[in-house]
Amino acid sequence: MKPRQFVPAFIVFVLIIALIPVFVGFNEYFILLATVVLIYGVITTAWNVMGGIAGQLDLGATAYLGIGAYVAGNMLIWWNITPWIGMFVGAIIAAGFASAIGYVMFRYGVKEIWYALSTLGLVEVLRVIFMLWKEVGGPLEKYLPRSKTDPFYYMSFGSYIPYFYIALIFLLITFLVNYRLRYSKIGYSMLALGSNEDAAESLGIDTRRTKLKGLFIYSFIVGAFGGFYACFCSFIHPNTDFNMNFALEIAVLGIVGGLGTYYGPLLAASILVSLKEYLRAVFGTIVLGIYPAIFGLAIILIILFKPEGLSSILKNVYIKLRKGGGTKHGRQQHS
Amino acid sequence: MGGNNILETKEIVKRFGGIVALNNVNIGIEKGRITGLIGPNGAGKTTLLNVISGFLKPDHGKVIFKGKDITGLLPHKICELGLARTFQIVKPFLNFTVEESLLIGTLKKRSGREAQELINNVLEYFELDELRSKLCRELNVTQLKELELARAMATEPELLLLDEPGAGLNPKETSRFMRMIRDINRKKKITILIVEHVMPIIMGLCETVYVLHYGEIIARGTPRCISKNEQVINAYLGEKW
Amino acid sequence: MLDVVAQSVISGLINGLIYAMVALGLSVIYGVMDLINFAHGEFVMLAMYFTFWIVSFSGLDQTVAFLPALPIFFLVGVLIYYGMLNRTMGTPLSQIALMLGVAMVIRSFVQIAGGTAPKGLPPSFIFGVLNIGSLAISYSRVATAVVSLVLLIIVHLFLTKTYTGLSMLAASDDRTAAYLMGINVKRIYALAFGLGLALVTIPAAFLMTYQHADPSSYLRFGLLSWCIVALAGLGRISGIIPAAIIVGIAESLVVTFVAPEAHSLPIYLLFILVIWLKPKGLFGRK
Ligand SMILES: Nc1ncnc2c1ncn2[C@@H]1O[C@H](COP(=O)(O)OP(=O)(O)OP(=O)(O)O)[C@@H](O)[C@H]1O
Ligand SMILES: [Mg+2]
Repeated sequence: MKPRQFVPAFIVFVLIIALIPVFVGFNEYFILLATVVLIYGVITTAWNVMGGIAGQLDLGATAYLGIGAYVAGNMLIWWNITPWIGMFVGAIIAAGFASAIGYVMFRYGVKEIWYALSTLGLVEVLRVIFMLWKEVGGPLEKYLPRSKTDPFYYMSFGSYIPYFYIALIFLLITFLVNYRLRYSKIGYSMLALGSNEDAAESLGIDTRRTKLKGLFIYSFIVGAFGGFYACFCSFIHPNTDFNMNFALEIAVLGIVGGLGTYYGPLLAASILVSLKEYLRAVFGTIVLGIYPAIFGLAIILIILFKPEGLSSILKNVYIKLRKGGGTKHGRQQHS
Repeated sequence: MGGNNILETKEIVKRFGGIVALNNVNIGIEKGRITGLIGPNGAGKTTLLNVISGFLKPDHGKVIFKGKDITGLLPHKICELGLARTFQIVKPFLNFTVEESLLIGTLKKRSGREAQELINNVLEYFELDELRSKLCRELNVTQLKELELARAMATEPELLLLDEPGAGLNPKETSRFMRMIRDINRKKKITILIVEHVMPIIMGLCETVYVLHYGEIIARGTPRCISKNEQVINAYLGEKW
Repeated sequence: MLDVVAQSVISGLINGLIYAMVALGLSVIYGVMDLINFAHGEFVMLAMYFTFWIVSFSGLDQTVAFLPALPIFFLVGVLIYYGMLNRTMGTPLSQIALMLGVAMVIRSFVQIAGGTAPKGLPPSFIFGVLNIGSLAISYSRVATAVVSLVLLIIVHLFLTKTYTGLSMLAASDDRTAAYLMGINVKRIYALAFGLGLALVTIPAAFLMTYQHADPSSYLRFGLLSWCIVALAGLGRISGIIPAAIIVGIAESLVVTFVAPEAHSLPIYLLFILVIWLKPKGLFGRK
């Protein structure tokens, strides 16, 4: 049931992204912009496992991101352990934490809007805890050690290009996880769960376990990415890492992109985050605070006029192209 | 009740806040037969199905399936043991195709070619072949009801619980549905418990009927017997069937 | 020691009563439409700014400054319903995204129109301080708490005693049944959403008798309100008061005995625990 036709398209797509630094003439500002887009892309694509495929409105992305950032960051600060290892440890701790919380929530039947609100609350609770917990956090930025001689070990580079490629690798992995999942048994269970929980349960799907699996995969990726995020920012701070608005943005991008497709979130992140950063750059100095309005309006317009999400545009183009090429119509995708 | 029962409920009590939806309900479903469950609106029929299939935990009492106590097990576990159900209000996977909807039912027990074969059989059996790659959101209610039954069949159950399969169907569709249900019972040897308001369906299909009224079983017998029972007639007084 | 606890509790109680009014609009919307208004905190903030502007330009007292804002907010609510929510009914995710979009627009608007500096007003006609032992509570807070109680009672009576209010409750209980009873559900929803937003103007005006408004006020009032609604259970007006009082007292105790920065911690912890253990709310009946 795998639509293999997507594989070549995917490879072309990755190559194009990989060449972005060349297209922009290695302009640091544009590469930074592209890296920010990728950061949103990675987290939203990971979110898609839980929010899109399994249909659980998770608003806690930055809870896991923050845990990953603090674990990797502190390991580097305290013990001088490279973030490459820290990332992995962070991922395990973030996923372990998420699973423990998730186990209790799913056990007690927390779902829908209540799941959304409690995951969002979790971000804020963690932010406050890390603010007060002076040993690991505290209200001051904790800067990560840097080194000119061994930037790779410290993941602290003088240019944005390495960050860009690390984020791209993350995106690739996340994308492949989504893709694999989407057409596997677990993926189908997740989709069924997201589509109609009672029906799925009555047909033999263990919805609690399915949710836990989704949450584990998602929080593992985001937790690992937290380590990278800490290095990218070059410091850790509760407001940066456990940021509610960031978590909300992720969910909104996922919804706007088109739930349950594996490319929609990335599409939304590319379009909307570029738009946002562009607006910030252009209007930020002229009219303070105008860009969230335009960003917000863009979201409203997309929801009202493209309720199936941005991915449906891509899908339609794709179907037209294939029809134009005289081949048989492609199999219907879930929207 | 004899030892030939595939399912028994023992003194089931279920309350919602102040409402006693089920009060000391004992029923037995004989293996291989079609048993009916009737009762006026709000009698607790759906609640009983929910308790049996694990969607609700009873406050008191036991559900015994194939001699095993399944009280409090989760629905998916109960499904695995061979008990499938449909819902009074259809619960489709709107963005799935008909074929994919059936696939969900097979996930637990089969995979690969076996699953595909099973799906093909079910599609053929329910004459859903032409609809196989249609999205559920494009189907009408009758088709969704059929699909729901087909989906339940894809889990290869031994006992099937049907919650008002006839509601909202016209007479022609109803007789087709009755034929299908009888067929499933006779040819596939699947025991059926059917909740229904439409009396002709009950009359035509069931050998035993239970009558539920305000959460209590007030009568049990053959359909003919039941329709003459004074208490039952009183319970339904003012009801329009 | 006991004195400190007592003072902390009294202060929390007053705050709790005020919070009840802040959460009221959210509760009405959730109760009737089953929709969590993610822009609630932003609307509270916007109404605070409105109060500031109205008072600055007209010289009205804060305590009546909500009068011009109230119909405007009501209208905005009705427009948002017909323009956006009505078209996305039955797709809760889209509605959440929509309201987040609205929230961003409001945040922007407040920043552009009001700047980043906090906005405060001179004292209203209610001023002075009430001394209870060594505890000093400003009269404006006491007055706000009293107004809150009165408003809650009015809204409760409206919902349970008037035809429109009862139709709202009917619509919330069962949409199809409401249709059958001849209630125009769409109109009821539009009304509920309008009412939910209009109800934000009164607490906002009274908050401005003793508080500043700034572009981050939304954060505090948004989550706070969700917590209260969660504790109260399914949009029950009667549950709001005890829920809000619990929140107020918990917050106050933590501020006194742990750390002022931790003031939101007990609220969210309570909130999360209640959602997990009693998803229908502490005071929910159904
Ligand atoms: N989840 C629930 N929470 C509260 N009360 C419930 C719940 N489910 C059912 N009830 C109540 O329990 C009683 C029995 O309801 P049930 O749905 O089982 O009736 P029914 O016999 O299936 O009726 P119908 O013929 O209308 O389908 C009713 O009074 C109903 O209001
Ligand atoms: Mg029923």
